[in-house]
Amino acid sequence: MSARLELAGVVKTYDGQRVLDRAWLLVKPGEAVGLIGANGAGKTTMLRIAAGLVVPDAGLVRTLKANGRISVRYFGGERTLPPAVSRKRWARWFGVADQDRRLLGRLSRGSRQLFGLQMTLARGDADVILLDEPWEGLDPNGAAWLTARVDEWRRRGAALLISSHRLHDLSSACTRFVLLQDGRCRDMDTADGADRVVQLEQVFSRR
Amino acid sequence: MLRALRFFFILGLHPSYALALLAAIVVIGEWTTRVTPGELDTGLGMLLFLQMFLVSTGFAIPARQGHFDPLLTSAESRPRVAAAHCLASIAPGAAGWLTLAITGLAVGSPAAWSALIGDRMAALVIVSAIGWTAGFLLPRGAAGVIWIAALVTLLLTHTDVVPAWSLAMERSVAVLIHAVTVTVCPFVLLGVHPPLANGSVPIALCVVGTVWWFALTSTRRLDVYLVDRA
Repeated sequence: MSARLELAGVVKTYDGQRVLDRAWLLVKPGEAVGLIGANGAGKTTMLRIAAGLVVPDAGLVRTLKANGRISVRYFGGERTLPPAVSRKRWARWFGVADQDRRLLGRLSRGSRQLFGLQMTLARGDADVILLDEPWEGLDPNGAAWLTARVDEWRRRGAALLISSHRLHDLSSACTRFVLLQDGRCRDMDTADGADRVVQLEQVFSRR
Repeated sequence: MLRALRFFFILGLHPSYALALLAAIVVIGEWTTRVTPGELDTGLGMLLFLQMFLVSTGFAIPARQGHFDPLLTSAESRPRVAAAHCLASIAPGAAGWLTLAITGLAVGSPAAWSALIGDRMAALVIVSAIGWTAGFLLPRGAAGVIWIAALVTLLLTHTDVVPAWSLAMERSVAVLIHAVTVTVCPFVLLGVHPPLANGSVPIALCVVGTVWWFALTSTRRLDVYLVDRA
């Protein structure tokens, strides 16, 4: 099956520091790829390049679909929500009915994160879904809800790329894992089940 | 484009205190014009002054805080998104301006037609386009502050914005000098002012339009990386 999202030889430099160095990544429809890496490895930059928000210095970013326009959804975390806008108004943009008039800046961090994810993963069509640290700040119920939604979107054929340090959550939601290190992506072979978390933790401890 | 406009109206680009101030200026301008139709420029001048700040909503900073992510990741092109942002920034001030101009027309103000389709409207267009473009990379209102600071400096140094010697220059030179004057200080297009060389206002509009267009198209290369809120 051809890739829905393709990053080929992507290079990005900030202030003389090369964050991504000819990074390659493919995500196929129905696949949820977990992106792991140390703080500052370039995960957020990679996701924002994939979302078309950051322009790479070199390389190609392609979102492919056989017919029709491709729909990309991206959530960069609760800090990206405008604090002076009410839940009700923000939900209107996503076509969701919400009667809560509280400003987003007045909500707790976890509530903002959950609300942002609910809007991003709301009904409709999405071909590519990009989530940056989505489990941050969520309580166990919220985390379980998110994992179930990721699985649901994956089964519907969306291509998902998710970065997270929460290896337990990531391992239960994703089908494949990629380590971002020294600006490059490395595919990781992991077993299913509980061993997978141990393997991911070992990768971190070996760095 | 309409989708992008809708997004910016949902987001609300202007703080409520600025909109309240705008409403107060429109009410005062209306009252002044109704009492003395020849005083339409009083309301227009106040509104033009406020518009310098209103249109300077800043694009890059909220974009880099992630506030525009849902729109920027949609299929809408960047220049269209930027154009919609510009229109949404201009809209409240332009609505106030039209209200005053139509009132002026109704009470027979001599400046009313100019406020709708003449030099006074050009002043609004110039202020709106420059204020938005100059504020593109700056925090909200910053372009207005810088512009006013520059005008106050000119005022304190007793600089003639329409120098008398420019009228004695060759026509093409006078047109260029006056085009710069109109661009830097569009207020000269309101009230009674020294005569400007014919063609200086269209040239100023062309220059401002070109700069505005350049700002719109440059958004294609704008890096919307994520910065933390200050």
